[in-house]
Amino acid sequence: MTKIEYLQRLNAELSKNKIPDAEDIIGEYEQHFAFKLADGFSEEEIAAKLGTPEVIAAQFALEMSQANTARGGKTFIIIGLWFAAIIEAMIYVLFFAWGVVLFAASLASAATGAALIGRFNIAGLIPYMPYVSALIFGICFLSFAVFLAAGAYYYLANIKQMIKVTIRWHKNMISGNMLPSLPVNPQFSAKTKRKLRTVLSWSVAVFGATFVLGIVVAQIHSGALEFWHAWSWFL
Amino acid sequence: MNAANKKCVLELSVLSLLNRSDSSGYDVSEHLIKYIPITGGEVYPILRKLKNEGLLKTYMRDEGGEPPRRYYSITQLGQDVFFAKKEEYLRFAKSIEKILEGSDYDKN
Repeated sequence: MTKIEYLQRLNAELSKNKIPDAEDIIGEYEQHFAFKLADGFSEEEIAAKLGTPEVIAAQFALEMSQANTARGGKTFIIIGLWFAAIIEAMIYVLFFAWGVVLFAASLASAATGAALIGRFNIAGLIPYMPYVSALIFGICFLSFAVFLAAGAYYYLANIKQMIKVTIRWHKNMISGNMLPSLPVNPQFSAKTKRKLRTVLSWSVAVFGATFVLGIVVAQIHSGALEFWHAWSWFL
Repeated sequence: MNAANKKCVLELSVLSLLNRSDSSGYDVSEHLIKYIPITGGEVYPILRKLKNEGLLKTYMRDEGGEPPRRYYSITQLGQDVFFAKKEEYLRFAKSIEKILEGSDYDKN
């Protein structure tokens, strides 16, 4: 079989099997002939080594039919995935909102701490206390703010990872490929993990210590167990 | 275990070659023929399948004077699939080797 004969027969077989983009395929085999001819092989030799046009076309047809059957059954999967996606999106918006709440709480706590330490009594919101107590409670609020911020960061990283896992799952369902599913926990580097752990444990420790210390100091200072009554906070 | 059949092994080999460097279909075909008993024309349907699945993409490269050639390169998805399937296949092959060599027998 000469090159022309081979390519013509391949073309005929491809169109018989209704393979799309037959010109591209023919182009590939033409290139194959060109390389082999340059290496000194005869057209007959090359054609014999390629495999018969019938077999080649059948392989293209096989790939195509597999892709088609896969696609046919997919309509339902895709509809189902859309429903799943809507629900997932709602859940993630809700989760995300909680992360925002955590950050807002952290900001509020930081502002209170700064006001206590800096002696800004905005609109008289902060009740009377001696500056020693204000200082200790200020540090208490600041450490709580740090704890909340670190917690919110970790929480949002968790959600981000969950969204990634969901997207990977969707992709796998649609393409039929089995990419390995992702781990559920956020993937921090060892360094970030260590830092996060240090920040969280220190902020908790400082918060606890200053909270207790603040109350004790206030009690001593006011001379009453219920120092808030002694200082008439709720009158 | 689907890596056992020839088609999957061929796909894995093609992905491995293209993971190293971009190549023309002809280069892939010539390389595989050296190691695996296939005909020269068998590689092109595989390349097309992998391209349709989004694991490969093609582009035309001009090489001075000659008509431009079609080159294949691996996509990010292709790389992910390659590394996953490679692991799966190597684990499978190791287990089979143990059984064939009889080295699984001493432990039982």
